[in-house]
Amino acid sequence: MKTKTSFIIIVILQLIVLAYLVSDAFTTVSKGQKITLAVKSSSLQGIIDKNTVALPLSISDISTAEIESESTEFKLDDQVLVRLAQKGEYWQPVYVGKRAPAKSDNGIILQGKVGQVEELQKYAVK
Amino acid sequence: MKGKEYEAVFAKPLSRSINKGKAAWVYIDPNDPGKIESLTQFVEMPNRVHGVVVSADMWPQNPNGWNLQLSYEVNGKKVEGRYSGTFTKGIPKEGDTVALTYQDAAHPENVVFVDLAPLWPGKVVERSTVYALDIEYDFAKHNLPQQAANQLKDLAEKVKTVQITAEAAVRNSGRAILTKLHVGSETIDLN
Repeated sequence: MKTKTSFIIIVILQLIVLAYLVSDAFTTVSKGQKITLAVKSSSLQGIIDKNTVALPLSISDISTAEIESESTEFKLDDQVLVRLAQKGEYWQPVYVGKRAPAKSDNGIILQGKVGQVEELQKYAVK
Repeated sequence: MKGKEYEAVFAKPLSRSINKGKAAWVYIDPNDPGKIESLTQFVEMPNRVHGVVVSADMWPQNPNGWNLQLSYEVNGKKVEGRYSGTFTKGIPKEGDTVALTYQDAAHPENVVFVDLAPLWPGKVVERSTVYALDIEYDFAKHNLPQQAANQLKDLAEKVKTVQITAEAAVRNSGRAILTKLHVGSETIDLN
């Protein structure tokens, strides 16, 4: 009897989690701001694996030499926030940092993780 | 560039770093003067000056070969020089500003080298650390409904390369979901 009750509780909890995920995804799709993103690869075969698509988005390539950044150092696997703003047809990064950017009326913020990092020197030459 | 002063930025890997205050050679695309295309340590280049292409005539037997008339100054004196040679990168045009090396002070009209992408002298006024990042976004990996998977697989068999654009929905929390893919003229609903 005790085992049966535990089983029912687990099933109910799983259903609650599933319902939350479905409703969260539905809310995101229906109420989220629609943005258009450029994809780097132009080969479909390279981005499909079984029933999953993995998109190499152009917004993944970020240089702190070109956009605003609050952090002074980035390491592999750092959690970061990226602010995007619409530039022409596509949305593009305008800020990257470990902290939220200053409040701004336009743009959206995405959460991401540093997958690769290369430290460079930026030279200003006159 | 000639007669103008710019402050421009370079942020690419460099085999030998250059300290703040040091002189450097830079190449700047005239259409994007805020960005330095190449940066190298400054070394003296004897008999090197900047000049203007007065005329450019292609060799009849070789489309890469050119006879150039060039105008430049050597020690404050205007010189009309000549150059014959091939260019594998770029085509010389009348009015172009180029870098050139003349033979010597006794023969300044004999040009021995012409660079169509001229380097300009500059000085490093600021140096700082920046990062080139590759950011991973969870939403960029998306489980496809069966119909979308089939559509994409069919398209993948028909076309090798095609322009792809993604649409996503993003909430204030930062949570995002891919909603559509535009593959060439086809639109695929991902949900």
